[in-house]
Amino acid sequence: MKHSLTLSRRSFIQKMGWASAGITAVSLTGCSLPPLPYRSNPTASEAVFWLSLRETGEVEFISPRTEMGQGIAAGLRLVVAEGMGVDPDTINYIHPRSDRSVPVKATVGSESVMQYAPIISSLAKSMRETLLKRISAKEGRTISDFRIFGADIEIEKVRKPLSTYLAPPLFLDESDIQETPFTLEETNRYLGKRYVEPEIKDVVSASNPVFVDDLYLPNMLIARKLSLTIFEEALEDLQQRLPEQLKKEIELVREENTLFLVGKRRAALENAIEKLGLSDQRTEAEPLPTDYFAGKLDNLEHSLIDEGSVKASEYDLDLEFEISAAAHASMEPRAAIAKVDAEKVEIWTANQDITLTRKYMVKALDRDEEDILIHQMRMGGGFGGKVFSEIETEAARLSQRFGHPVKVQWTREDEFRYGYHRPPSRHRIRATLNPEGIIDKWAHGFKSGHVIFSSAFLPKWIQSFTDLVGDKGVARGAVPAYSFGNTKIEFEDVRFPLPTGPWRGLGALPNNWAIETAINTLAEKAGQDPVEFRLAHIPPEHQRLAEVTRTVASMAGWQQKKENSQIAYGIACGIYKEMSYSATIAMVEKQPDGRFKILKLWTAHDCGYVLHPEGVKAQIEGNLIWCIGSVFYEKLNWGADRVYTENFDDYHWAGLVDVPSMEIEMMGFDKPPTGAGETAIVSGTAAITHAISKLTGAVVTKLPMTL
Amino acid sequence: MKFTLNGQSVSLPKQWREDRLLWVLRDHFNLIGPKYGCGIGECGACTIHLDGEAVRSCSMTAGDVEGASITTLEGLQNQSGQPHPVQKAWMINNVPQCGFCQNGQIMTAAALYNSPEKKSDEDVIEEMARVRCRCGTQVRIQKALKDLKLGRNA
Repeated sequence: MKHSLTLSRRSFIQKMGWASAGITAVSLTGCSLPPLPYRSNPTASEAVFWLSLRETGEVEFISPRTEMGQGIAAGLRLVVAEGMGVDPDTINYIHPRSDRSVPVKATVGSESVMQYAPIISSLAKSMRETLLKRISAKEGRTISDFRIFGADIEIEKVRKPLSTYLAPPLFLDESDIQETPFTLEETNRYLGKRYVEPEIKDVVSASNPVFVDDLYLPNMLIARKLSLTIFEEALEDLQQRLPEQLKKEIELVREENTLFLVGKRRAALENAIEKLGLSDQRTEAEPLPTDYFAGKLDNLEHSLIDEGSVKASEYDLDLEFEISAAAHASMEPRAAIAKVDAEKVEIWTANQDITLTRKYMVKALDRDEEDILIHQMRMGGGFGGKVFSEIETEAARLSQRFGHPVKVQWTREDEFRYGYHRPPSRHRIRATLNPEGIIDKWAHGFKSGHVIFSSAFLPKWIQSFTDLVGDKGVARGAVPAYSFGNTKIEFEDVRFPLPTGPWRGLGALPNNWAIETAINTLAEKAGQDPVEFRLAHIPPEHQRLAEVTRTVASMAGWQQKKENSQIAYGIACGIYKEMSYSATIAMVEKQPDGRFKILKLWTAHDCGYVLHPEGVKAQIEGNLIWCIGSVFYEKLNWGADRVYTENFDDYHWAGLVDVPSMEIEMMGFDKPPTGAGETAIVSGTAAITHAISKLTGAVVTKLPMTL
Repeated sequence: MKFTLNGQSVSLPKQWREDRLLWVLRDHFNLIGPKYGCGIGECGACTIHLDGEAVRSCSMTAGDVEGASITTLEGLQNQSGQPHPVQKAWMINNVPQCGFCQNGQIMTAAALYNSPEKKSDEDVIEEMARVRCRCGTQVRIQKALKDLKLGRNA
């Protein structure tokens, strides 16, 4: 199929940043593009709306990033505090809001610090400079410095209210912003220091609403959606079957193709579901009707690297790997509140893409952009699973119908049923060693489901175009840092019934697991130490990878390690998204019952300049815990027409008894900041399975392990 | 139907006896401490104290608490508004990431802390392990539990 693009459409796609993602050929005649995510990096013209000094003297920062536990709220607070010279606790930090934070990229890909901290730092410093000019102008002389203490300002040792200089409040123009380099300074008062942000206190004490479900608006109704599979009776008949008491409290409505129960109390909604016999019965999982990854794992659709011939009569390594689908399992099932009237559509939600959500709602509700005001709230876990859904639009349609604010909340079962998930993948890696023990042929072919160009986001007609391009999310981590001789890396993104999409790290966990396992196996075949083997293959341009590998080996005492039939050590390393580096060593013990216990994990981690060390360390810990989960537990059961996994009794991940002590070293602080939200996930899994393979004598090639 | 809620005497209509307690606490009393995570008593996000014992409010009815004393996260601080030692340990160790599970973590730890009868270290871990956390705050929970010396052998 060949289609041409008019100039305006092409420039639209380029402006949206999608050209670099490969979407350049899009059908246009008679079709309008669906809302697409905004992919451009922040500019000064966008940033000016985020920061202001109010009349009261309060610093108001409306963040462009969703806080979902990754600690970006703390990090950006510190950036503003440092730039302006104010106590971070005095900043009025507001989560993203569509009237000030849009357009903005989705909060995905561990880019928030790298892309946003420098411009916000410049913004804050420029705000301070502009305030200084305003003060000088008001005082009629050059003031060289000031100090802010909460709502007061001290100038030449005299304190007065900051509000003295804030009529009108201070906003910047684009021309006021001086872009300055963003680096770690010895003189930093806030950046790089220990900090607990104020919302954490609210979390710990329930003193203020923090999550969407904590909000109760006056006259608010609550709605629960019901599965279409039980939508057989006519609405009126269902309503009639309700007991009298519930008839007064509940209304059954259909919006688009979904049935909702609406009322004031969730207890009543649940009672109605039970009385009407509408609860889904659990279904026994049936085997998949087809092997979606059938066929060879070479000569695949999309080529990442094809250099030289990888053909060999015999390979030193020929391994096939398989990893299952997995759920996000964020602790907070999503919810959204809508308050709709003739003038405005006001939404409270927690998703990872406020820009896409507003665009979608403009189209879905046929309202103007200016009429739609979206407030982001803290999210109880995202991990890529809450980039987009229609929950806000569902709430808005119901609010419009009822003339009241409406909260829609998904159940945990809805999250499994209607959400999208990490796709499974299958890999084959073949490699040969030359007489010097260096890898001279490397062939990696793999198949997986879609991640970025997912059926969860894109209508069918666009999917067929993106199928031509190759999903970069699937490929993440598939091109290792190592130098091999001849290299062929290729993949196929398969469409299957399970809705799939971005999951923490995208392809990075499965791809790095397969690659690092192959590396460990080849090192053994070559009779070489796996640390030295890696160092021999890391080219000069990836010195930072070599550094974290050396560092973790030193931390764990790798050269002096004592292994036996019960205790073994494994190692892995990797680069996340060409920007952050980690290396992990796992010490694992075989238990009498045949299970494995991780005794300790060591990780060396380099994501450049770290704004909030405790926050980054927590991300490293979290990523390693996800690796443990992928090794031992995480498996989503799905079939041709549904997801069989329904709730947490059927879905497990690493918990308190699984988590070992961890020794973590963060390094590279002199480099520009990159990201930590997904980095350690490249090195944890294979380190653990390497240790296990030594204890069992067999390479671990299937995850999760069945024990 | 009467019970004590965070130190206050409250009453509910009799016909709500069979209603899920979590929803009564949230939708009727507008309390935000106990959270909906799974609805089947598996994750612990809904944990409250019933006469000092940690229980899962999603797996109880309003009728189950008649005559009892219920404490939610809101009521955990002492009468002068000072945080509970568990809340302090959680802040010092920077435990929460997204924060959604932390009601369950804190209320379970607080019940263990408040209990006159100390459990073994293994039992403390086993009980805390039944509260799920997806972000991976377990390393810091372990540290906070150590600081609090919750177990008999601590």
